[in-house]
Amino acid sequence: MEDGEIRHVHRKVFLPTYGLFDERRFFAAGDVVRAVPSRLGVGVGIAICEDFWHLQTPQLLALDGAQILLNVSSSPGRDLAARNDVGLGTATSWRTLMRTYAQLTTSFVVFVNRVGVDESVTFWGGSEVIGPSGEAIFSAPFFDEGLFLVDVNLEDVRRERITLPLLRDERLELQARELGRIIAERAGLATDSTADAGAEPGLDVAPSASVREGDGAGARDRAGARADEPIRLRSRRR
Amino acid sequence: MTAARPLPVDAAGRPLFELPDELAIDTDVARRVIAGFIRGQLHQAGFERCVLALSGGIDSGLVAYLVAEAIGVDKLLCVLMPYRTSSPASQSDAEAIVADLGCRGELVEITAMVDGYFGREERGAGGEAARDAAPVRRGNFMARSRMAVIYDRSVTFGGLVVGTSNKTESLIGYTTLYGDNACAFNPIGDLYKSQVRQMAAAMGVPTQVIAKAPSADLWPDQTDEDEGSFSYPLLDRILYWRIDRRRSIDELVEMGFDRELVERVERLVATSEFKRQVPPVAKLGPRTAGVDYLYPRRRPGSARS
Repeated sequence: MEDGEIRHVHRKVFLPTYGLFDERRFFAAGDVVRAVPSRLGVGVGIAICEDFWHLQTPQLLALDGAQILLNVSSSPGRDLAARNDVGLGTATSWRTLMRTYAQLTTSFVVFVNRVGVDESVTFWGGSEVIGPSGEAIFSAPFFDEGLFLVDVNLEDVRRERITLPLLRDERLELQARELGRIIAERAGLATDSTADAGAEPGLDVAPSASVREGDGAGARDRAGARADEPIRLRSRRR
Repeated sequence: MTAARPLPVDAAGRPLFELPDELAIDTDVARRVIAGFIRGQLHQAGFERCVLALSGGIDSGLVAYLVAEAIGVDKLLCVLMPYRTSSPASQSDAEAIVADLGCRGELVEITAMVDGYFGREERGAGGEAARDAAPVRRGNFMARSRMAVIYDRSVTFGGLVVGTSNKTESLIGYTTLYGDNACAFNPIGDLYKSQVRQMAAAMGVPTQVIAKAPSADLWPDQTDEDEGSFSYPLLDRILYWRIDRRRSIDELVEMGFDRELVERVERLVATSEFKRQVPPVAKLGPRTAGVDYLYPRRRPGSARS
């Protein structure tokens, strides 16, 4: 919102449905990732929680012109091991991700995380503002609610992008071309040129040890076709 | 990185317990999370007080300290429920905890309840054959008698029953269904026994409670580790790597764990799955509780939504 007007609506694109999450069972995902201009004179990229566990979200937002990436999260704290950075595995992961995204997109990253308890889970707070060089400018306390105002120097984005012209050098046509190939291969519409022998089309997890270590014949039996042949899904269905 | 606190030691300078590295937690973070959890559970259920079955052991002892820290000692009632064969040390340790915390304590002997069923000189409500009941039947009955008492005190004191089962005993099924595992909520159910010890030391639970051999105290000289022939640090590590870290049995063996023990633990976990779940309902209607009628407990219209 800006000046009382809705400028942009972002609907969460990635709905976690694994581990302790059940979102896709109850909600439908958004289908749009867009940066939005702001009166600050910089583009803003808004995302929600799990959206930032997928590289493509911060990348698309930055490529679309965002200089401030804003992630609003409800991250349930877990993995309370003493070896973790701040005693909490979840926090350690998020802190690593936010710094990495800021550096790789040479953008500000604003991470806003919920605090409080809901049934079994505790939200850990720890909101942060990370500068375009990947350094934390502000870190809120863990578990405590608070309203924090942070001044940032937007010129840092320009300076960082001159020092480190990563966005200028992105190879979008290469990415689009390779993505086109991977999409076709995953759909079984083209031979998967990089798959292990015996891998089935659409397989996006590492094959189990038994498949990896099996001989070529066994692998072929599993897939029902020779590994160097495209598998025709349509004929299989008959 | 949080600086590791040295483990507490006994008079001879030996550590009171063994804490495997991978199980060490940041106790400050855990206290914070658990205190918020306890307050959250009470708030959403519309309660301000807690009742707790205090045995004198480390699990219920730790929970007493956690509840006292979360809501204040004046809102906690600890109920001591010995049977005539219970170890006198259990009761004196429980009394020491009540005294140290300064919370309310009540003594309810369950001897008459249990003997009333199994019989003693006279035949009991359970019939003539019940006099010869095996220790495990008597132990289960004691645990369920304590459950009945604590839920009754829940009404008189106006507090929720706090659970005191730890993750280790829950995973291997070393618990009496609807007995010691019955509760409104459980603050330590995701802490392995080794972590319970670490937390207890951090919170100032009396040393003798931390140091003594864990026991369900359902019959004289019973100890968990004798009954199950395992040691808690070892069992905790197997469970941690197998369940929390998803290592296969073969991987555990490669790590140096004994295959026979790992497989025994595997069977204990698998055969006790029913103890960790709500009983299934036969699916007949269009929407069935627990199957496809799924709401969070905290929902619109609940006591505190």
